[in-house]
Amino acid sequence: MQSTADAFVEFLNVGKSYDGQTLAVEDFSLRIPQGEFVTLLGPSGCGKTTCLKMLAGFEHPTAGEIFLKGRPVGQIKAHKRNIGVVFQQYALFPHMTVAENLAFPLQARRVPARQVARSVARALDMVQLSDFGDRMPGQMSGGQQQRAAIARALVFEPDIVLMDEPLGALDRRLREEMQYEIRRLQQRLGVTMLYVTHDQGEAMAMSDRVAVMSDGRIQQIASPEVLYEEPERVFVATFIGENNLLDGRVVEWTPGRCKVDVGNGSSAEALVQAFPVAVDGPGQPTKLAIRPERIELNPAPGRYSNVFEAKVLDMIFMGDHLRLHLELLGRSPFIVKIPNIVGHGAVLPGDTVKLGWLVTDCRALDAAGSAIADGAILAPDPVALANPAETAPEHA
Amino acid sequence: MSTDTAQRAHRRTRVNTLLLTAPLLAFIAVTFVAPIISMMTRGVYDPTVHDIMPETVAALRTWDRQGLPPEEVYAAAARELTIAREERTIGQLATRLNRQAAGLRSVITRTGRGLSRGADPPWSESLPAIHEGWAEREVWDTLLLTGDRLTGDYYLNALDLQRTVDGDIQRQPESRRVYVDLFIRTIGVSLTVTLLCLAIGYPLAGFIAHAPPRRGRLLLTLVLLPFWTSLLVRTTSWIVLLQQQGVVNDLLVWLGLVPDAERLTLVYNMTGTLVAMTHVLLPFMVLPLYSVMRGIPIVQMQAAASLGATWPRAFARVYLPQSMPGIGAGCLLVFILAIGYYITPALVGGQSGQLISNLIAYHIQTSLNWGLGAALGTILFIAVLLLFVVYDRVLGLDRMKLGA
Repeated sequence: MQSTADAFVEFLNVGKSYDGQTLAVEDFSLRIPQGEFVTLLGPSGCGKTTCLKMLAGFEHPTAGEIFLKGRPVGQIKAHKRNIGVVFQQYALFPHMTVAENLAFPLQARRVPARQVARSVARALDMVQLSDFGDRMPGQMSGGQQQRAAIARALVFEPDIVLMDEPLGALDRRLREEMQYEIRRLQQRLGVTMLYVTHDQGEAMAMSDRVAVMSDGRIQQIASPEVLYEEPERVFVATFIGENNLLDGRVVEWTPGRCKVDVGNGSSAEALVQAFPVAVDGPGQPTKLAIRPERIELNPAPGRYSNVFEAKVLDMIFMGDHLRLHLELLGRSPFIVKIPNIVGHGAVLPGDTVKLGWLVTDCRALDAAGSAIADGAILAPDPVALANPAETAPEHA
Repeated sequence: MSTDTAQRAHRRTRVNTLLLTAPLLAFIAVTFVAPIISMMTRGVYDPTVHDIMPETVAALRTWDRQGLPPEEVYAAAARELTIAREERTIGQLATRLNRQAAGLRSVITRTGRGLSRGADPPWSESLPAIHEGWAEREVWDTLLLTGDRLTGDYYLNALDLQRTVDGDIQRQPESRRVYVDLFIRTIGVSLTVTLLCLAIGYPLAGFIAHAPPRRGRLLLTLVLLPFWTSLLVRTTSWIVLLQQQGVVNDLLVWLGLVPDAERLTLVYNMTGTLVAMTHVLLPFMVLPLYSVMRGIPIVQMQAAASLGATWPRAFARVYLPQSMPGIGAGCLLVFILAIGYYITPALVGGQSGQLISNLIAYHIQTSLNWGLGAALGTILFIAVLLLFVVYDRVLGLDRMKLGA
C-alpha cells in the first residue's frame, strides 16, 4: 500500500474490531494535508475516538493502514510517533507542577536543560499561563488545566496534534472562548490538527473540514458550509443543523431535477420538485430534506415551483426568529423558521398558509433513515443532553 | 448575649460527644491501656528482693565491700530467709536471683531447708556450712544488685547486656547472647517479607486496579478470600504443601528437578516462615496499593507515551510517584504486622524460623519471666513507634492511604 504524496496523515481502509465480531471502525479512509484542521464529528460510540487512538498508537487497526508523512505507522511505537495528544480529562500529571508537565516531553527527548526552560516559558506564554508554571494542576481551574494540557501537547513541536473532546468538561462560555483560542493557535503555528467532538457547533466553528461519522464509517467529509448546504445523506442532514424530512418515491427523474410523490396516493398536490442527490431514476424511495429557514411563508405567486398549503399548529417565539409547527400533506410537525423582522406577518394557530421553497433547497436523499432512526444517538452524551440545542433535531 | 448562647450550645455539644464516646474510651482504658501500662512497668519494677529481704539489703548497703560482709548481714539474711520459707515466698526469691546469676536457686532453696532444720549463730559460719555459696562474693553482690525496687536489668538483659556489681555495663557471656541477634533476625525477616509482598503485590494490585470492573471485583474477592479463612488453617496448609513428603517436593521430584533422596527442607525453618508470612500478609500490601492505584487514570500512561516517554520512563516518572502513598502504607502495614508476628513462625518456623515475639510469648507463658517479656515487648513497641516517626518525616502519615 502506498500513501498519496501530498497527504500528511492518511487513513487507508482502516478497520478496527475490539471483539473480532462487531466493527468499531469500518473502511475508514481520510487524507489530511499539512496544516489542516480536520474534525471527526459524530455521536458517542461512532468510532471517532478509536480513530484518534489508532493514529496516536494506543490502539492498533485490525484492517488497513495509517500513514504519517508517507510512512506506515504500524511498526512505530506510540512514544516515537511525535504526535501531541490532548485528552478530555486533561491527563496532566498531578504530582508535577505545570512547568514540569511541560518539560516532560522535552526531557524524554533529551533536550538540554537550558533549552527546556526556554521552550517551556514560551509555551506557557503562548497559552497565557506564564504565572502558573509553579502551580500544581490541582490548584488550577478547568480552563487553565486545559490550556496547560494544550501547551504540553504543543511544546515539543509535534507533527500533528490530536484532541479528544478537549472542551467537554468546560462550561459553555469557556468552551466557546477556548474554541476560538485553539483555532487561533492552530493557525498561528500552522500545525496539523485532528479534533474529535460530538458537538456540531464546535466542529463547525473550528474546522477546515469536518468528517461526520456514524456507525464506524464516515458519512460525509466536507467543509462546514458544504456539510450544511449540501448534505449527501439523511444522517448528515439531520445531525448538522435541522431539516424537515418528507418520505416519498421518485416519479420523474432528470439530472438536476426530479419529481417526488410524497402523498399517500398520487394527487397532483403531493408532487414535490427536488434536487436529486442520492437517487438516479424513477421508482426509487427517497427522503426529501428541506431546511426550516429556507421556506417562505405566503410567497408571491409564481416565485417557487414548490408551493403547498399547510395548517399552522403552533407558533413559538424564539427571540430572533419565530418557529412555526405546521401540518403539511397530513404530516406534522413540519417546521418553518421566520426571522423576527419588521412585517413578518401575523400568523395564528389554526390559520392556513402557503409555503414555498426552491428546488435546490429540497434535496432528495437516501431513504435509509435519519440520525435518530439509525439508533445512532439513542444514548447521547451527557454534555449534549445538558444543552438540548446541540443535539440533532428530535422531530425528523 | 448571642455569643454566650452559642458558647453554651458549643459546650453542650462537646459534653454530648464526650458522653457518647465514654463507653468506648472506658473499654479501651480497661482492656488495652491499663494492661499495657501494667505490663510495661514490670520491665522496670521488681520489688521481690527488696520486699522479701529488706533488712539484709539495707545492711548490705552499709557494707564496705571488702572481703565478705560482716556478721550482722549474715544474721539478717538467716532471719529473713527463715521467714520467707515460712511464708512460702522463698521460691520467688530463688527464681529472681537465679535469673541474675545462674546457680543461686540452689543456694537459696538449700539454705531455706537447712535453716528450718535448725542452725545457730554465728551465722557467718553456719550459713556457709549449709551451702558453700555463702562464702563467696557472688551471692552478696547479686543481692545488692537486685535490692532496688526499680531495675534496668530486664532491659539490659533484653539487649544481651548485664550490670556488674561495680555498676559497669558489659555484654553477656557469649553463650547467653540471644536477643540482639533475634531482634536483628526479626527485622531482617520483616524487611524480606515486606519486599516479597511488594514484589508480588505491586503488579497484582496494578492489574486488579486497571482490569475491567467485573474482573477487578472478582480478583479483589480472591485477594480477600484468605481473610475469611482461619489463620491457623492457612498456616497449616503451608505445612501440607511444603513438608518433605508434601505437594511441592512431590512435584519437584516428579519433574526430576530434585532427586528423591534429597528432598528440600522447606518448612520448620526460615524458608517456611518467609513463605507463610508473605502469603498471610499479602492482602495488607495489595489493598492500600489497589486503592491508590485505582485513582491513577490509565490515560496518564497514554499521555506519557504520546509525549515521547518509553514505558519504563513513563512508569518511573508518572505511575510510580503517584503510587508512592500506597507503597508507603502497604510496606508500613506489612512491616509492622511482620515484626510482631507470632503464630505463623511458631507453627512453621521450626528452630531457625523463630522471631522475637515467639521469645516474648515463651517468657510470658512458659518461663514466667514477665519482666524480661515486658522489656522485650516494650523495645519492640518503641521500634515500631520510631518507624512511624521516620515514616511521618519522610513520607508523611497524612498522605498514607489504607484500604479500599
